Amino acid sequence: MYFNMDEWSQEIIDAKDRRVLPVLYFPCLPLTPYGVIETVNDGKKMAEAMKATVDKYPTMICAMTGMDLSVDSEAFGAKVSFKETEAPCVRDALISTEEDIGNLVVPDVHAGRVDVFLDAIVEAQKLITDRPIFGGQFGPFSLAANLLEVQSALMMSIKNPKAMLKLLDKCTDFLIKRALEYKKAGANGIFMAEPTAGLLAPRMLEKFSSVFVKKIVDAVQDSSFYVILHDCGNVTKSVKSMYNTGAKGHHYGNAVNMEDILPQIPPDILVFGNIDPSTAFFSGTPESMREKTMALLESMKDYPHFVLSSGCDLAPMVKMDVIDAFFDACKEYNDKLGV
Amino acid sequence: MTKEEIYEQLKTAVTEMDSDMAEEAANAALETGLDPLECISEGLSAGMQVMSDLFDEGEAFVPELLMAAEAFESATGILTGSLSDEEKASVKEGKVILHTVEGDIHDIGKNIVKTLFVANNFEVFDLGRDVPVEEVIKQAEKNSVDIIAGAALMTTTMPSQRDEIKLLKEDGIRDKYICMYGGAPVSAEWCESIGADAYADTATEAVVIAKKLLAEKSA
Repeated sequence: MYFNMDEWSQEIIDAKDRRVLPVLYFPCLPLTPYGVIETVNDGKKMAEAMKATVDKYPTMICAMTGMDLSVDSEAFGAKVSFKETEAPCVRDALISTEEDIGNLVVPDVHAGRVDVFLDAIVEAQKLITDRPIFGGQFGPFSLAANLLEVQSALMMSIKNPKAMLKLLDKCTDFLIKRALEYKKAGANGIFMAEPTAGLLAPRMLEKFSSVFVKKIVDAVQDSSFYVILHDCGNVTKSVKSMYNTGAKGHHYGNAVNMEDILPQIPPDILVFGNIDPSTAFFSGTPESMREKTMALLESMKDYPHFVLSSGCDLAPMVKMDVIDAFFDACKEYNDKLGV
Repeated sequence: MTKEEIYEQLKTAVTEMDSDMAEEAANAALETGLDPLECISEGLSAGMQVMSDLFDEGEAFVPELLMAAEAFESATGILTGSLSDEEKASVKEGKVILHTVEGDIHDIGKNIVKTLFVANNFEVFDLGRDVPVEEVIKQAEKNSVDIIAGAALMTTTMPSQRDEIKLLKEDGIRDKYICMYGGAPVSAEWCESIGADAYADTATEAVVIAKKLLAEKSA
């Protein structure tokens, strides 16, 4: 369904109440008859889970596909491990040498399980018509690091930058095609997860991530299609580089202090963050969640372009009562504002 | 070159992340007849300490730390090549087993911790990632280590840390080892609840705590 995403974004900024969007999918599967493995292999079931999620938490500003970041690597040929207790993940490096990079073929955009997620977008539009729908995919450096294995990718970035840049070109080529397929299927945007870039020094993040993220943003983003760039690393010093990619939304993890981030980003850009998915969502209690959420909201009161979120994707085993407390705290905060 | 100049070159090789320079300095040290262990502590470890401090201050990042560790290890390999196992062991701070717990394939954090343990003169047995609980205990016994240190990056794999402690207790060998854990979802409260000896929030903290607990244990 068409949404003017610039108007959508501006309405959130202009709103008197604080809006909310945790990266939430897997913990809501108990609301459906399906498990993790079923929904990441069946777009229709994934769409039902997306619908169940926004029905349970109707204040979510958009719906989102499951954040299965193994899909891009799998399309290149990597083997994926599936479990009911966690999001699918890639176990072993697909490539290791410069020669491997040279021989690596950019896959067809429908390879592996890409179409499951396109189906989910198509099916979700039949079920969810009151808000935008986003598709999830990797960012370029994170995909490259998944194909090479993180440590090898980090070291190759210093020892053999030319080979790394070649790999990033291939990853970016695929990710642009995938984002365009999302757009063609009717998605209103993508949530681009680029967490591994957060391990890089600012100058390296610019060279090995932001330059390529910008290519993706330039190729797909317009008033009908919104890009949210996620990096949950300690990237306080890289905010400018990430902002310069042109993405209209920026999502941060709990490794940063949002009070250091917001002043660096213009007020017409949405900034999402950053309740800790581990200690607050997974290990926390409803009481501790309320406390942390209220504290964050209070600290963000002067920033209309802030959107309350989790710092990263929430794991399947996060308990619903803690998620309830997260949303309840946001409502309590808004009630206090009188909106 | 004087002794001090060689130490300085070893240190610089690490801070400049230059494996070739590290190897050259290590060979020069051996040719000059310097004590290899002093070269490690006064040169290489001093360099790693600089990198570790820069990392903690947010001035160096993971790739730089990994490259510095590579330079450190290149030189250490040359310097200790002629030493007997006994000689090597006699000057070590202690023996530590590092692993990413069963079910967890994310090992970048564990590798950073390894880098700093090696740089601080610990003998490290790196069991890799996704290591079964039984294997951790088996290797701890086989290598007579002082410390079992494990990382979990996912909430779903944290229970393996609890299982390691449980198995040590069942085998009646819990008190033989200092058990410490870390990783993104792990907390001090969690470590206390499973009966571990310590939690470390950062790689640097892991080394500091390990040294402190070893000193307490041997006192």
